[in-house]
Amino acid sequence: MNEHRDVHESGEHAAPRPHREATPVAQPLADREAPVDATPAHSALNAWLDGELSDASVSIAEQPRTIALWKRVGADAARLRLMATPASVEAMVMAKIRAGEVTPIPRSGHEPVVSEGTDLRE
Amino acid sequence: MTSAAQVPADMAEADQEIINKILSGDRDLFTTLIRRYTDPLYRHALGMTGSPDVAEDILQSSFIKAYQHLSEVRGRFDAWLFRIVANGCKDWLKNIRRTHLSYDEDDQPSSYATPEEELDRTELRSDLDRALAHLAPSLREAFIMKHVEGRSYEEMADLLGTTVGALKMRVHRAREALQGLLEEKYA
Repeated sequence: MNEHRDVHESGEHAAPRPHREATPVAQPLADREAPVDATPAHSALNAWLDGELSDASVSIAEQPRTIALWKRVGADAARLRLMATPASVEAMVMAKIRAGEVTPIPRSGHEPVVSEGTDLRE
Repeated sequence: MTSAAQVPADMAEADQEIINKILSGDRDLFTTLIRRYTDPLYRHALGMTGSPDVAEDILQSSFIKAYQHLSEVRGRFDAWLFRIVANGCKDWLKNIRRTHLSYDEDDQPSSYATPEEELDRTELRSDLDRALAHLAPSLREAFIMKHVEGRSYEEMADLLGTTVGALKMRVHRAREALQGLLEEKYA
């Protein structure tokens, strides 16, 4: 049930219409458009990518080129994992906060209502 | 750097203490919250948008929104903050798809600041970014969280409010689609 709901929840089917009609990758892939390959080899691949199978186990699935592709993707992702936020992000945010350009919005219902008739004396 | 969803209960309590102090006027303490969570969030935004400039903008606006709405935090701050950033990324994706109705691969965001940075990107990275741009945001989000951020399915389910099974399906679909897009060149 959840899988079915997910497919329809994405709401991202208003996809761009690329120029290159002849290119097989041109049509954006929404959830419902991406078929799931349930072959044993593909299941083994996913299990390996999910860390449930060792390198040795997946190598015998006779898809060494696919394994090589995912190892390259994995290496690239590992490099991305080392990336840090540029210092300018914190600097810009804190500059706005310190300048009073942004302030916390008070909790609704917790702020005292002060009007002309309110007696502010102790 | 602490990963969201790996935040222990005592750190969640510590976050709430910091939030209370900020709301009492110690606004500089917001830097503590930024530094505690910013890197995984930046990587998420970078993976989702493929653009360092856009990722920075989304993070800045997300932190400001979080600061403005700090009094509304109930429960885990890290998960609440993640949702702000994740929604910012999805909003950006929706917007760019609307404004690039006839885009092709050359229109994909590539706003690395300098030519050197551009050169530093591997060919695979460029191709992967382009391939990711062809996925629905929910598939891209799941793939980025799993492969780039290195989160477990349980963490992802916790942060996205869905089931492990649903997320496995999204990741598997994303892998299959990406493989179809990349294997001609790389496999």
